[in-house]
Amino acid sequence: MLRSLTQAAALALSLGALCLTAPAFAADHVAAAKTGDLHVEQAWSRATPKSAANGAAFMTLRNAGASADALTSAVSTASKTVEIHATTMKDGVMQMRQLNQLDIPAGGAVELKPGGYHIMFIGLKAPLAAGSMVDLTLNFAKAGAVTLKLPVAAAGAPSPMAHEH
Amino acid sequence: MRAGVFAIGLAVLLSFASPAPAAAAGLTDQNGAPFTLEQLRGRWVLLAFGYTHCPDVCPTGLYTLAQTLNLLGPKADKLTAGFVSVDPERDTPAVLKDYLALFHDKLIGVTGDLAAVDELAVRHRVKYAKVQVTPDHYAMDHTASFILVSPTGEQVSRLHHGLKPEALADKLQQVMSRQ
Repeated sequence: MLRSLTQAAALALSLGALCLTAPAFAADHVAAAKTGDLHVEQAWSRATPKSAANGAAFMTLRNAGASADALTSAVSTASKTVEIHATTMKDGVMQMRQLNQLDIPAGGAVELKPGGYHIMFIGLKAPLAAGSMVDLTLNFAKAGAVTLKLPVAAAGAPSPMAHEH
Repeated sequence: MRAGVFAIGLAVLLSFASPAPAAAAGLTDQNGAPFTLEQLRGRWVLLAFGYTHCPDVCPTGLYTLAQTLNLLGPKADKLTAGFVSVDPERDTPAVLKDYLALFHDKLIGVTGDLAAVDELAVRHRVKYAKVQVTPDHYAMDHTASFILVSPTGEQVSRLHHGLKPEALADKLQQVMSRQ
């Protein structure tokens, strides 16, 4: 197990380097979709233990339009509810707060990543297994709704590449 | 931010009598056995404080710990890495055991009654507070740093939770070889 995890880490690093030069390769590890001017890119989730009630999803939200938009809500068949959260650090203390909406500026992008903004699955009906897919519908104030299936990476993975073993 | 979001202090937190573990007062490990840090004298101990309902920072931190143990390999023979729950109401030994199994088979889990967990947190200057995120669920604010305790039981450093496994492994090797 020790060896395979080390190899996985090495592979993840090399895959990460590959993805810098060959973005199309990343399609296996992340999902993308769009609605109107709103592009959802690099979307992924992480595996959860059997006992865990909550999970998280990460992505980049890019607004190609000329007016600001906002992510106002999300739903998934995988959990009772889905919330938009921000993790912040204050004096070394991690704080997690729910956001009513996440603004995406005109012509700008917002990154949801571990340790920052994230989508949170609250009350998972079943654990999220590495290598599986989880559906997520995002509702934007102007661009409307978009549904996509997110690949599930390893538990705690810092990036979507880390589930490769 | 939602109006219903409010933080409650430690005094209030402590007044929530823990209904779950009927076991003897004190700390327990992920197998339900009594646990004290004193049991680990002679070993380096690296602790992360968190809670299993945390979907973001805690899994990332545990992933880092797991990768660090792998990178250290035999050099981690004198090191025990553990996860201390600041949410013992929900994190029973069984929940912790299941949670940690997903990360690394050498990680230990620590939970227990609120007073014992608080004593451990205070001793290592770890802050935490219960926050009702919505009427349905709560989160725990908590210190995210890794705490390194020496074989004699002294807290020797506080390592940033955002360190990459390689950097954390390097720092641990430096500190462990110095003393």
